[in-house]
Amino acid sequence: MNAEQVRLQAAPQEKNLWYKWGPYLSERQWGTVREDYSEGGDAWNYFSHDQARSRAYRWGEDGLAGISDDQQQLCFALTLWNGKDPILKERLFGLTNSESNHGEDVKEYYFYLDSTPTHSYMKYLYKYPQEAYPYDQLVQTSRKLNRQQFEYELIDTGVFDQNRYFDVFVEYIKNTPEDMLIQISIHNRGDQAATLELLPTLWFRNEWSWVAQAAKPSLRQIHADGSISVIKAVHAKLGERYLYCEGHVPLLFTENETNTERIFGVPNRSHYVKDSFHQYFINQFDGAINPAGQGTKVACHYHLSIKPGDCQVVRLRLTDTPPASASNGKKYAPFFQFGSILQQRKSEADEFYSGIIPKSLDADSANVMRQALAGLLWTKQFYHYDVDRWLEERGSDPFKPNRKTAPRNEHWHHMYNGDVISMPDKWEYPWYAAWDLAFHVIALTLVDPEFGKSQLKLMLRERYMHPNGQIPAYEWNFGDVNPPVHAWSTIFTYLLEKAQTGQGDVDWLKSSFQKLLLNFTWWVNRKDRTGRNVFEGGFLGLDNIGVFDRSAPLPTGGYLEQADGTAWMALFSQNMLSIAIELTKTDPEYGEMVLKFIEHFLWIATSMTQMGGDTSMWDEEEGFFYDVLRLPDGRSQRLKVRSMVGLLPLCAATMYDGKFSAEFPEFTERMRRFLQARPELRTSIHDPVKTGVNGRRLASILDESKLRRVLNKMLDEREFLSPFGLRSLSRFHAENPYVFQVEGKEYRVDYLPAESDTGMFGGNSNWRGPIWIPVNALIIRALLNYYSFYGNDFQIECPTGSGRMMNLYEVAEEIGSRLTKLFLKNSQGKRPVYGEAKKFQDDPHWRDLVFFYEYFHGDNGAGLGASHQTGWTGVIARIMHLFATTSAEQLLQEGTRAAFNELPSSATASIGQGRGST
Amino acid sequence: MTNVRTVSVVTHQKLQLFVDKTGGRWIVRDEKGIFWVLAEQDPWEQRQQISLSDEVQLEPVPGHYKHMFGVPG
Repeated sequence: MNAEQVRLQAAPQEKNLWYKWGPYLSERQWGTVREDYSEGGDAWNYFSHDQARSRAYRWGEDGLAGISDDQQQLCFALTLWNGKDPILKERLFGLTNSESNHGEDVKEYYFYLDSTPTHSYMKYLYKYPQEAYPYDQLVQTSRKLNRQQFEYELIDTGVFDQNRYFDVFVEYIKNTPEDMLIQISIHNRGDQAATLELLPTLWFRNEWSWVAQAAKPSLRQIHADGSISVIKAVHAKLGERYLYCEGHVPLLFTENETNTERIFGVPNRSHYVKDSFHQYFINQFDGAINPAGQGTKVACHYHLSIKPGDCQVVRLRLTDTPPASASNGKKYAPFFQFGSILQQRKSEADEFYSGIIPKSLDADSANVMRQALAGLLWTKQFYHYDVDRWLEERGSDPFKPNRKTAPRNEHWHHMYNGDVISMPDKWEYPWYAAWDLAFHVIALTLVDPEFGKSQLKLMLRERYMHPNGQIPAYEWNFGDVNPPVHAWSTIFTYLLEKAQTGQGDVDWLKSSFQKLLLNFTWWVNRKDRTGRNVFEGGFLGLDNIGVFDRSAPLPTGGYLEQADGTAWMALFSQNMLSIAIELTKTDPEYGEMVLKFIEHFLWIATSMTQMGGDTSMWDEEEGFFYDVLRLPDGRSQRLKVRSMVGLLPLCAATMYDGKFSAEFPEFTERMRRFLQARPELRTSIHDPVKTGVNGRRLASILDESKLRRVLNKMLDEREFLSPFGLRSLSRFHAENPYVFQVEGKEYRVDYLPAESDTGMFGGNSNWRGPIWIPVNALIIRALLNYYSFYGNDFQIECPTGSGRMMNLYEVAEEIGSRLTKLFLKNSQGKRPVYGEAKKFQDDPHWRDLVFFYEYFHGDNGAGLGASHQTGWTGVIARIMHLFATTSAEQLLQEGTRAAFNELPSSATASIGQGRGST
Repeated sequence: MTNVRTVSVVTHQKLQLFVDKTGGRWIVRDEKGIFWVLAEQDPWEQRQQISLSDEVQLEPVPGHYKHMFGVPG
């Protein structure tokens, strides 16, 4: 067991100590719902980037390359100033939703280079221009662009053209859980000497101004000479900490308090406010700094002058060890053995990842996989939102009769969130999103299964899940409906642990199952309007995929029976069935639940193909699934948009090993009687009684004939199959837009491989063509399940029309390989994800750094949307791992369990080479 | 991913903190509709009742700022 594994497998109490400090600082707290106290709920404009330097946050903090403790009491991050910017660089800049032509977008270049799961070693890179950062140019130019044009990026401003920028590397190294070494290495990449004011900043999250019981913490200078400066931090709950800064370092103190003069136009009650450093450097106002050397925010001032091509290194140490604590009676020497500790943790990180990243992957693939995992780990954030308190503070106390109506989340006043959570993207989406999180766990479990379990558990806790059983969607509207993938992630995580350790966490699975039952019942009671097992759900995470906004009242009146909503519920039933089968192994009482979810699945699956007579969701003529529009006058029609909505029914496929039938004959007999009495349930879907390879059973909406027909479209390069994975909308609609007329108004869906051309759902995402990794991952999962059942007898042409026949494992691998190619260098040494961005493709200081975008161009693979959505795009790490560590033969022998079992490295090496998949 | 929704709201009278930007002062309206200007020292204890002219425009301040001034509730 390597050192990081030892930390991960320590007793819970010790392990929690290692988790105490981490990258939990958000990259954007301004413009969030929780900081929004506006009357109408205009979060983006109520608390702006411009205000952020002057206005104390209520619920959390943000910063550049920062860390905090797990309750975000004490924070550390970088502040930079090149002497030319109009403001200090304390946080990442980006455009708000309305400022950009495609919704909010961070306009900075920063990279998560490395992290171990316990954050014993972390590395981050920020590229800071030496010329004035073009704030105004970005805003003004973006304002003139329309939705048909690409976004205007920082690289387009030319600020990096002469390489006049600093590469600012930050490394965090834990010597012990409470002893963090910090090394900042600044490289001048330009051809001229340049100066930089580097201000490592330590501050307390402001609670004392808002909460009566919160004692005010303090930061105080306790030592400063030519070789070291020391700050003592005292917090009632956190205790004492010390920040040691190497070198001659003036310390600048102020308070993390709102500058009321600037924000509200009322004189400050104290001279020392949140933006004092701005006043000190930009306005050259010395009086902004507290000469008494104390406060709640402090910056250590390093004035650096760096020659072209040179690097300067700054070292600090944040620890619980006081200066006079050395046991040998000598003064504590914080920078003694600093370098050797750094090297040790770095080597331990390498050792840890050498056990995670399959040896069969080449160096470029290994680099991509490690950065994907680093991104996932860096994207943890302390998320704090007490909804009841928030409502009260805006005059919307849910229990007061004369309250104001709140713009959102009124019915979620039970919620108290104050936890470290895996975020989709700490700048663009610095709030948790329930279905994203389920995908994050699929990848996070590669390195830290326990953290994955804790994340899934969190969403089901009473402080999160609504009393009615709904899982919160995200802060913009907790009551929105996300696809129910939580149960899938749960059974995946359970089986993974069981395969790896020989023992599944049954208690965790049992408690999860109970809460998931509530959630399942919520869906059945709330989203099945007619009680016929056909489901709605609204946009269901696929923003603009429909011809109408599926979360708004339809312009036609009536309602939609959604192919995706119903397919998600079929998959949910299968996942619940899998969990129930597992629980029955230790508690036969759960056998009742096995029957329940078999029946649920059959009813739902059958409804997709049979309900509605001529207008069921399955279109026999076209061989595809569509949403069905039910009009108020009783008429109905399919909305024939060929999209991911119609592929999702294929995802509801799960293979069962058939052992349950043998072990529990009583339940099997009851099932037999049920099916005998309801023969219609078996006629239009895959026959659940039919046995496949090794006596396995398959739960699937699609029988073999339907499966082949859907696959024909899915694997057609003129439709869904792109060189880089499956598109969210068929390319067929490029020449054949779907058009729907309502009272003279035209609604249409065109194939849009890049950005959205409408403002639907904020206009910052596009499901009308681009490639999205998470749904591709679900399709890969389904194909492996089909393969485990059908084996090598099921062959299909892939790509359609190519004459090349594949089994379904090979099809899954082909899709996985195409997805991986998004990030890997191609034969010309270019990464498709970076498209035509020359600097990212060619410059040695850029070309091996990888962004994990939100989605990708449907034809050329260029990255689109949020640039740091390592969250669910990080699932690529799981896909790379899967195909490097399993084989078709193994899957045939072991079933889908094979996906959890790594082959010995010698075997993976030969398989990887043999297939040449990555 | 969805990210923007705005909803119109209905407001009702209740104790609330405001800022009078023109006058550069903090104002509180109590449950009875009486306006108070907060003092620099001991803001709530030393508050003074005022009547506001129609020209004064008050901007609501989030409720958590009340604690800073010792305003109850």
